[in-house]
Amino acid sequence: MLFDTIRAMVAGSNEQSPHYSADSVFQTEFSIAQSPLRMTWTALAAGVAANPVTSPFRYCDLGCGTGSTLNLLAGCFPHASFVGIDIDPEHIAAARALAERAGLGNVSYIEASFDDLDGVDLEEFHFITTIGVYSWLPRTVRGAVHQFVQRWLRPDGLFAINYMAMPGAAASDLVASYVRMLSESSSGGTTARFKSGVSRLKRIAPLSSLFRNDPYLANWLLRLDSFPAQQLAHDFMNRRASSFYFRDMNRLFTSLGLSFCGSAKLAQNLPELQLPADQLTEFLEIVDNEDREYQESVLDLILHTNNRIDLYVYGNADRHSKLSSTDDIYLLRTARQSDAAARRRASEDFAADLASSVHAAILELCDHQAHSVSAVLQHDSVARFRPEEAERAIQQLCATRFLNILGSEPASSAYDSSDRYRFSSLLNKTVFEDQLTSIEPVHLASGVLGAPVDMPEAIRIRLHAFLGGDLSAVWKVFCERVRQQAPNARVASLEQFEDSIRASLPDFVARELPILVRLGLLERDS
Amino acid sequence: MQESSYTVDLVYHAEFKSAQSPLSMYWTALAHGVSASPVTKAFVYCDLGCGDGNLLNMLACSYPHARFVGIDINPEHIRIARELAQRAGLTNVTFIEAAFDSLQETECGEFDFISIHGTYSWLSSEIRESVRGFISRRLKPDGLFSIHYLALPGAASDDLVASYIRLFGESAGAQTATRFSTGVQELRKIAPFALLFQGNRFVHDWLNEIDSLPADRLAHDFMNRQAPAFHFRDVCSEFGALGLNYLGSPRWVANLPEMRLSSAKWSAYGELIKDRDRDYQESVLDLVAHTQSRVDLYGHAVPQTDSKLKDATDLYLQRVRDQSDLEPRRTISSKCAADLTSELHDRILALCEKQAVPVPDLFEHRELTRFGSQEIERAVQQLLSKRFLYVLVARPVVTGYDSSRQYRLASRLNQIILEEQIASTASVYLASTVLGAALEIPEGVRVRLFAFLGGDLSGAWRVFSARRQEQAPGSLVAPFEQFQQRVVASLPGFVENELPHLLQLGIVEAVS
Repeated sequence: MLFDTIRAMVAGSNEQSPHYSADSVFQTEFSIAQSPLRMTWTALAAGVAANPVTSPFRYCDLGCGTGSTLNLLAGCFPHASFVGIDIDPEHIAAARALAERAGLGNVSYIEASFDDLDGVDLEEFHFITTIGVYSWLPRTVRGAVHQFVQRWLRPDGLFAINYMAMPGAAASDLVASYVRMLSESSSGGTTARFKSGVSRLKRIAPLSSLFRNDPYLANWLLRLDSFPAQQLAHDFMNRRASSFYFRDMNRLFTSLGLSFCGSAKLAQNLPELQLPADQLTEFLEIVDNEDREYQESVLDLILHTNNRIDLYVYGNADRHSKLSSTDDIYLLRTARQSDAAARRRASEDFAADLASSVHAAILELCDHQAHSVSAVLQHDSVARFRPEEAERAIQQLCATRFLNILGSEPASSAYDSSDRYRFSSLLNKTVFEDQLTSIEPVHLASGVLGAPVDMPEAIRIRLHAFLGGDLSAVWKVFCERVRQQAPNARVASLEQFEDSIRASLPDFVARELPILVRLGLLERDS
Repeated sequence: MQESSYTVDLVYHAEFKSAQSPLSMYWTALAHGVSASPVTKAFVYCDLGCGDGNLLNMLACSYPHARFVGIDINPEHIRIARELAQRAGLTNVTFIEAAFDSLQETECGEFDFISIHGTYSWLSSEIRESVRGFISRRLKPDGLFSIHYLALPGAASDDLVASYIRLFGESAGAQTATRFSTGVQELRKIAPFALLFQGNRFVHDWLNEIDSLPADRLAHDFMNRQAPAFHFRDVCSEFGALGLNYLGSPRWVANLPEMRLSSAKWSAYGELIKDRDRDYQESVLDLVAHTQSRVDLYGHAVPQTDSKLKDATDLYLQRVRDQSDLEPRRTISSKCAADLTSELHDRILALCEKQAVPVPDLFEHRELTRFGSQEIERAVQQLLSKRFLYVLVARPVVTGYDSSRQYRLASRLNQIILEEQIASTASVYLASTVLGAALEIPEGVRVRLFAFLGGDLSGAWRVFSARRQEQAPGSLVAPFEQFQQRVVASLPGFVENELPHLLQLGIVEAVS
């Protein structure tokens, strides 16, 4: 299922490319946390009153990398305007090229350092994000980010910041600093030096009690080979990588007039989804006060958090959730088949019970039709539960991806075999065609979801066939990959390959196509 | 002036550390081929963050021909430091109450030596910058600068524990010590189910050991907002930007990897650092030896491979213990890659046993001709690092004991310390102008020295018996007379074994 893979996506890395190791550009990977709709959801839950996404808004991404996230967001929200800022001219050129080919008129890119934005003509923003950047900036440039937020974030505007967090990042910090140090005398590009640092550290580690006594460090060293070297080199070879405690960040932004709303990773706001039942009880005893900063710090310590995406509002959050009165954000069940078993599995390790009757009632209601959050809570089948209980259940189901958060009502999806379909946006068509055979995750913009959607390779190929695309190029790439992995394997002929794809199309039409239509990715070609 | 977050409601007792003595710094510079102004001539020394001034007063007493300046932000520290200096009649030491970021306005001249110990890691980055500015303005061209800091990778686990103790202790009020103990209690509640403490053994052990360490000292270290640990490489490049080069460590053992590593690790380490520069070697050694703190010496000159120790006519080497030290040397050698029981080590010790040998004479001694000078120097360094041998800044006093004469402590400072700390459980040091440093006096020797000088033992006895009762309540304590008799009976042994050294080192002198 399409949505099952969306779920997997969230757990993934979301490092964007900051500017320093300029010779190892890597493909920007989407972070769903950067979606203005998700940011709004977290803010509403923390008591911030309005949903700004329904009317025109302005959004700025500091350190936008190659712009793939920002272009997709611009595709999702045609009524909003987006600005991406990055210091790397190659990033900016790639971002602009895609925006131009996709005919996006609502996104612009600025090539600049964050501490050199004085002459730049800007307007106040409703959203500012900085993802995969902040921990890698020198102190003075971090100061420029703070000033930027103070100057350009509107009152009640939202700010999402991602950084390497303590205590978990202490281990990777140490490993990274030694990889850097040991590679300094080596020659070659960043990736080559990175590899030489790693191989030297691997020779030294057996002698060092540090690696014997800290399993996190030992683990890091073991796992270094399993990550793409180029991306890791980019992260590790930067001189200044600083990790921060939530407490210190919270105090810093509080002093600038911002209030912490919660984590843009929804599950992080729900300790019952992080801890087993016995630990949750102890945790609640330890943090029995109302101090959110203390709670977050204790949770980070218990969970060994190594990176965070925090959401702040410029102003005050009154802490009383506004979700129950939200009628312009919709909920839709993700999976059509029974997910009770999956919910039971997801509940096994944690204190929350996602298989309870309130959860079942909400899912049943949102199964075929999207409802606004307030409508769900007011519906007879849900209103018989305590309101706080029902709202918590919604939050839990959204955080675990059994429910989708939608920014608008989905399109109807009845399929008639005489209908022809096409991509509803030039952006999606461009991205899809460019990356049809990519082994990296491919994301398309969904205005309904208010966020980019991950398209797994199998669905991509079936969609391509369904739209009448030529399969021979896909088959060639497929053969090449098989040959690399197993040089003696027998490869299917083009005819066999085409036959098998065609045979799967009825299933595609029954299961995936309706979802692609409802999310607004495809439309009838009239 | 920027507000400092430095803990000032706990007094930091500056225990004597020989690495901070001008001699240790001078010797280290010479060993790395750098000339510095000799410690036997007049010099000016500055200690940034002098704490309660105990150490600086000791140094002032050990080098009467030099001038010392101590700077600290804590008025209580400065008060205690000045009071001790005044009572001891020390006129060559000055204490200044000032924050490091206001030093620009402080008139204190230029220095041959600057040291900053137990301080740098606890300063904010802005104030660390002020410190670097001070050093680049005030260190003479041939001056030496020594810095102590929390070092990575070893201090990473302390950093983590400390920051959580700070966080969890925050709500416990204004008293640093209370916040510290609250923080520890809270952390103990959370640790059993925190992944960090389950996985990382260093962090786990730290939390368990906290109770056995002095709470005030720990509170002082831990409750400071800023306690970052640094990689050697980063500190080195920060001072490199000021034109200062790393010369070596005045904590001598740090310069001798063979003393810090087992034989197996030592040979593997040798392979790893082959043909690499000094920076790389230090970084790898820190990683292999899990270094937690470092003391680094910096100077403007570039270190050379040719040692200048052979020309150090003003320094002497002497063996200080007379009982056989073969067994301790064997034990130490069995744990590391150096062999301190080799023929060369034996000969050096024998030569320095009867009299102090000027350093250059040792290299040219006919009994050592078949050894290379590098080999000799390495053996000397190894013996020094474990105190089988001492460097002296003056010829020792040669006088036999004359039972018809009266003896006394040679300085007023030492008198005060011996009287006040006779029954102390902490280490007690007495200043020596011959050693250019203070010598640790173990409790047994301290009591006998006190009795020998005619001190009244009853006060000491009271403290000892109270302590014994505390440790083992209900146990039989020797009555005062018995205690006194035992001490008096041990005095002939003291006169024969320990007194000669105390005379030689100028700590005890005959009343003329």
